[in-house]
Amino acid sequence: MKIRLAEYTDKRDILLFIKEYWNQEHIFIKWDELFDNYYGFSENRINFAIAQDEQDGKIYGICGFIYANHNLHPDVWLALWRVIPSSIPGLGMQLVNFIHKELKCRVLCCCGIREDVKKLYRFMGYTTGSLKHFYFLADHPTYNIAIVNRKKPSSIPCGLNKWILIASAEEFESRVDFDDEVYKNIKPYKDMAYIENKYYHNLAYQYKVWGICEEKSITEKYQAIIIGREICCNGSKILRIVDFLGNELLLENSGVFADTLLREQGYEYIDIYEYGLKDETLEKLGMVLWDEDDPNIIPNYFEPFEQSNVKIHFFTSDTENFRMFKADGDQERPNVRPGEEII
Amino acid sequence: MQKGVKQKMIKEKLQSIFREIFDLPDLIISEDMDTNDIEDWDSLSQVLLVEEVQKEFQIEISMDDIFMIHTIGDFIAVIKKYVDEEK
Repeated sequence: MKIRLAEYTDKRDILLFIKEYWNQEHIFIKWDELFDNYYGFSENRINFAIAQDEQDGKIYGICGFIYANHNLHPDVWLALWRVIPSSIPGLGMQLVNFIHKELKCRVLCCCGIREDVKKLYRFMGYTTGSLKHFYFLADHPTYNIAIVNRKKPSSIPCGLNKWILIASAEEFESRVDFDDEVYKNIKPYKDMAYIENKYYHNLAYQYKVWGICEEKSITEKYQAIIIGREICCNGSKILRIVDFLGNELLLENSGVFADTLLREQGYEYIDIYEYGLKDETLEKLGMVLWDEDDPNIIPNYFEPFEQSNVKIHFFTSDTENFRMFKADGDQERPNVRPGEEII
Repeated sequence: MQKGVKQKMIKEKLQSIFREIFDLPDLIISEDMDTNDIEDWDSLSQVLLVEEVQKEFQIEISMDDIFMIHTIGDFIAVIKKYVDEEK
């Protein structure tokens, strides 16, 4: 058995493997460009490691990965890991280990692992955890997306910082002014190529990218970015915050804007799955943390729609300055093509 | 302890661990057995097996050695190597 990085010519076999051993109706089977958008790296490379029998060429395991940046020691998310029975009992672990070593990752992590597999990652020396789910519920008479059994008082939104929409990647590049030394210390560090591909050239979703600036700022340079996606469902809509970059202090002082957005846009709620921000930051935004004692249901899945609370688990090789959000890795991957009926 | 006796003792303890992890109370292991003989023997069960082995034999097996274990015979050889090193 040989474990190696995939080449673009392996794409057909990888897709066949997904079709046979994962799901015949998997979105990547039906939408070739989306696969390239997630895993295409260059003309000759594809971001997968594969375990292949050297004799007959049969693939026994695949593990996809997504770069947050292309530094010498890049930050990488695993996304799409599947192994079938083979003569090697630890093949799944070997694939992960191979990627970590081969790519010389600064941080290797994955958003959306199964709870029962957390033990495996801990055994390999990784840290596991669950994202926190915060939400800011609007005061509506009825709800079509959330199930509200108790109108929990939201925290009082604080701060007058504004969110300004950044319409294009070009504008983003010219108006974002991160302190690189601080920003690059945050793991994973998301570079411009990642941001452009994910949020400005996404094949499936339209994202709203806002720069956060102080109320009286005249610099028009942004040191914090918040990214959200409006989700329409069941005749109603919500705003999901899927990513945050930069200075956390600017976020915590923008509660009044979030509150206004919630009311003016008629969202049932604004929510965020995250790890690494201070609870206080999100509470000042007006959010409350969903926990086991909370009788409300704040759905996670929309394709298809599932009215249930969902925990998202992760692992990481490094917890220092580590942040994770819903859009990291492939957690925001669509299950249907735009316009296609959701079954 | 004589070489053969030690090998037998390791095998017996390993058999008991395999029986418990895979819930196969009548399992009789042999050195040439592999994942073809025990179908649930995957990465996750490998972790459970190694954890139990480490506890039972008071050893800590490196990741590289874990990756070399493909058969029961490999398992016994790795355990023996660590038990001998502990001396």
